[in-house]
Amino acid sequence: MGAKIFTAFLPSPGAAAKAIAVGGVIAALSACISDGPNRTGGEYLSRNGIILENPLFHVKIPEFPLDRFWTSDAGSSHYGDTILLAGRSGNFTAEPSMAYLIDTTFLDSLAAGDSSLKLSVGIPKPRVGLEELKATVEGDTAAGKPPLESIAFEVRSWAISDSGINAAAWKDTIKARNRMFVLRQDTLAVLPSPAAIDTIFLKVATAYAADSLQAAALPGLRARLLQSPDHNNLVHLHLTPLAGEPGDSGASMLRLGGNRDDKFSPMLLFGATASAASASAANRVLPHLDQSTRQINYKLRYAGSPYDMLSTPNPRGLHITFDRLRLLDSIKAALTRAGITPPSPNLTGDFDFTYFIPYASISLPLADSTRLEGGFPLQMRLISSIDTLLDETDGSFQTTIIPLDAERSVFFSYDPGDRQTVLDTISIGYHEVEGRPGLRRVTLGFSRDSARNDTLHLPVGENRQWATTLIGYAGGNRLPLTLEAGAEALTLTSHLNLNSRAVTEANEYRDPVTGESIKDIERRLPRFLRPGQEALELRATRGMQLLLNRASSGHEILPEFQFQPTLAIDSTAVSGTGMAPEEVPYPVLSVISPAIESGRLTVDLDIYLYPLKKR
Amino acid sequence: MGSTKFRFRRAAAALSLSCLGAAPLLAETSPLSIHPEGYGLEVSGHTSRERAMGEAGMASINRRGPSLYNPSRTAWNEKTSFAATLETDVDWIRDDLTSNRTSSFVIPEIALNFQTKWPVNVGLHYRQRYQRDFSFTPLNPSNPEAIQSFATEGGLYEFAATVAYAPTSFLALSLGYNLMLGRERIIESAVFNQDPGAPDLYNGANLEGDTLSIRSSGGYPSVSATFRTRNFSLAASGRLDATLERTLERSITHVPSSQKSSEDRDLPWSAMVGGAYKLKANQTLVADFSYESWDNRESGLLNPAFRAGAGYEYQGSGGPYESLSRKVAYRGGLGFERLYLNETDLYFLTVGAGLPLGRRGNMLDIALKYGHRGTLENNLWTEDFLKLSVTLTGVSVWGKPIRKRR
Repeated sequence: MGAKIFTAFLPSPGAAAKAIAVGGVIAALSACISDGPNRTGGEYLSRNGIILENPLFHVKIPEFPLDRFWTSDAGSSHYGDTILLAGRSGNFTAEPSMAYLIDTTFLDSLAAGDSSLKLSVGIPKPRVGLEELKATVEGDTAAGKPPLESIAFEVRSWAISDSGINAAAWKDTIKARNRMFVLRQDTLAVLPSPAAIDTIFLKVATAYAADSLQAAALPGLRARLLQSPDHNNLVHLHLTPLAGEPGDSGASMLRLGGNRDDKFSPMLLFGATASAASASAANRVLPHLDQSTRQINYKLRYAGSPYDMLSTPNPRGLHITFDRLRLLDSIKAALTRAGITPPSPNLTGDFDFTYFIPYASISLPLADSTRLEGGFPLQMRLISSIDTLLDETDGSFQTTIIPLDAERSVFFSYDPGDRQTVLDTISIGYHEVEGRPGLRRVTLGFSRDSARNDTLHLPVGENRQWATTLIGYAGGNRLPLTLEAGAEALTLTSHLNLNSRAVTEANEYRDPVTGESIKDIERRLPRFLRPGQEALELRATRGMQLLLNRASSGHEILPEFQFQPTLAIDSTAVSGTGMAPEEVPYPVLSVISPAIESGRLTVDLDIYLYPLKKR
Repeated sequence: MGSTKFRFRRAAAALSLSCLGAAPLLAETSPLSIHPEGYGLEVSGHTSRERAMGEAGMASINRRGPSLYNPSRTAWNEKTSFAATLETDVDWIRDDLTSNRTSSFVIPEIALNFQTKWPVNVGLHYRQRYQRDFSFTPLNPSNPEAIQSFATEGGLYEFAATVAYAPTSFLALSLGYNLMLGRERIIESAVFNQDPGAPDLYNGANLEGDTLSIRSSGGYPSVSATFRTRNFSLAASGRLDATLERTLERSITHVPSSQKSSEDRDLPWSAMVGGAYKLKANQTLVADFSYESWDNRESGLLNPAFRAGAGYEYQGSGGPYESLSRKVAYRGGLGFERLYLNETDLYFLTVGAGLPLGRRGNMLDIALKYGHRGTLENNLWTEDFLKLSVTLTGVSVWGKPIRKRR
């Protein structure tokens, strides 16, 4: 019926077609007449305040004081890494751990009188950055520092056999002990007494002359294993570098083969085998393979300033935050000095659309103590993020004192759709350890998922950073906790950086001739951090946008910037037939120290501002 | 020959469709559209018949089709009718430095008028009342490090329901309610990375858009009346002022969420009067005057607006079986308008024709308008435009009683 009504309105098909054709052609002719984008009326728009006469301000703010700064590690575990660090270098100490599952076949070979048990390690020769590695062990004869021949390690061994344990329980035991000794690398203070302690010497003077394998006897462990020759044994080793002569420091960090090539993996050699090179599958045991990962790890400690950035495999970054109002005042003052009447920022509400930031950079002054290992230029990046904070916080640092033998609920995460509903409660407990007066146990508890609970032990007087995440906050949220163990209380400091909406500032520059992004390393090298550089300047455009366009910063959100080392580049590396810079394939232990004076850190800011209209 | 004709039609249709599709993308009209204080440029609510007569003729009774400005006259419609209008224009914008030729396309009105067995007509109307359609990118930016550009789009759309009733043969009245819905966007952007000589900004971030999106809604009642005699007729209509509730959402590049706010803004009352006089049975003179009470207190940019127009229609007297040329209506007119923005004056001339389609009373009305607004002296730009509009009106006896033979 309806269709009939409307068809009745229409003229005859022929007439309608003519009408549409005529109208369409006329409309088409007019539509196709166009010069393209309009460029006329500019003066009119200017006079009406639509086109800005002065559309860009440029301010430089030297020595702007930071509101807060702290560091956080990207992670503490090197579980299953391809390169294992072992030794000492400057303020760094690296202690490898590994696990071996030894069946009775191998133990039989130990029974012969001339047999031995050795730990074999491999040191692969890197194609890139080799000369710099060699230099670390060559010494400095001019300075009276002879080449270091070898470094000593104390090898602690723990062994447990499957005697009296059924297969399922043995499997659980393996998992639990691997987690304790390798994955988590529990502090020695809470581990059981070792079954054996041996001392080995690893040669460093010739370590990088060629791909090298060296083996050192573990007589203590051999004796322990011979006590239960009829059972399978699970053995864990922990290597601790022994303090050498004062002159040794800084030249004794070995890069051992890890979870990459079996040939260079740290392995146990049984029987009369002299070296790993001549060993066969019958007399060598590789680190235990659990879900395709060799059970190896190392603990890297740094004893320098807690504010140093570290270019370790899990880099340590420096976080900084600004007082937004102070920054706005500084911008206003800089513009006024330049004879520009600055627009008034919006200090209420969630947004402030006073300026758009097309470009900004932060220059961080560096201290003389900055050391780039091997002289390798270092690529740095700046990560900007808005931190959505917990309701219980004021957007600043939170310090909580937890008395001994007490537990406190310290953080809550809420359902974003219902702020009354607590999704998760995080509690921290602090307890004595029975029979260990100088040791404290810290427990981390989650109300929603107890599988995430964790425990660590801290000697009284020591600090530790503990990174966790929160339920209910999307993205890569991270909650780093700094623990300071006191005799009577634990001091917990949270930096509350739940890296929400983190953005890595663009670090590629455009070729001024072609306009294309410069991607090859060689042309990017001049912008990398190099030895002797007094300041580190990085682009901070996105971060400044987040900081200045959100007026409520500092209460529910805390925009922050994180400087983080990424790649070390060998600028003289040989690649194929020519010379080309390449990424250094082994861990480079560089230290980038911000120039902190009297506990105060300032940065130089370079900001372009495009004034936005009030709309 | 026949196939050649067919190919021509097919090519013409394809060209029409492609260009009609492209037209909205190219649409750029007056710089007046850019002002956030206003709503853009008003699109005429007349059908092409009145547009051709100097945008006048609200009092001219033609017994078919809609009239948004004067719904009361539809009470004397003979049949139910459906009408749709298309409008396209070409603008030549000129300033001291350069000129630009642009085009636009809109569908200003679609209407359905149900005629009952009584002298009562119920009308449903859609109309694009205001149109924002302008973009600007400078030819030679004053600062090559910050090249600003501007664009605006959307408009205010009106939906109206009217009831017209003629209690006597000489008087008709109408009452209507008009609902306004607005969807507008004003986009300002800036490009900073075009100058290799400025290495910082060359590697900077562009302001892809500082975008203000406005949604608005509101409504107002309208009334109209028509008095007619054998030789002349008079009409008047009025629309009350309205308060538009506006929701504003502002977003800028790289800020993940938007700033939201709301406000009320007035749309002024307006009044319109018109007259029509029949010189002969097939010749009519028409004149209209309208006034809109824009308030300049909030913004010096706004001013009261008015429009005066007059026109003439010669209606061909050919019978249904005579040639088309003897049945065509020929129209012409002129007018003056003071726009509500910046006291901008508009002068225009119009011509047009009405073509009967078939024998049922269907019509194709065409109007061509030449207009000139702005001055180089005061407003720094002028705009000349040629606007073509086409209204297709179909009629039916639906809703009317049909006498059946027994």
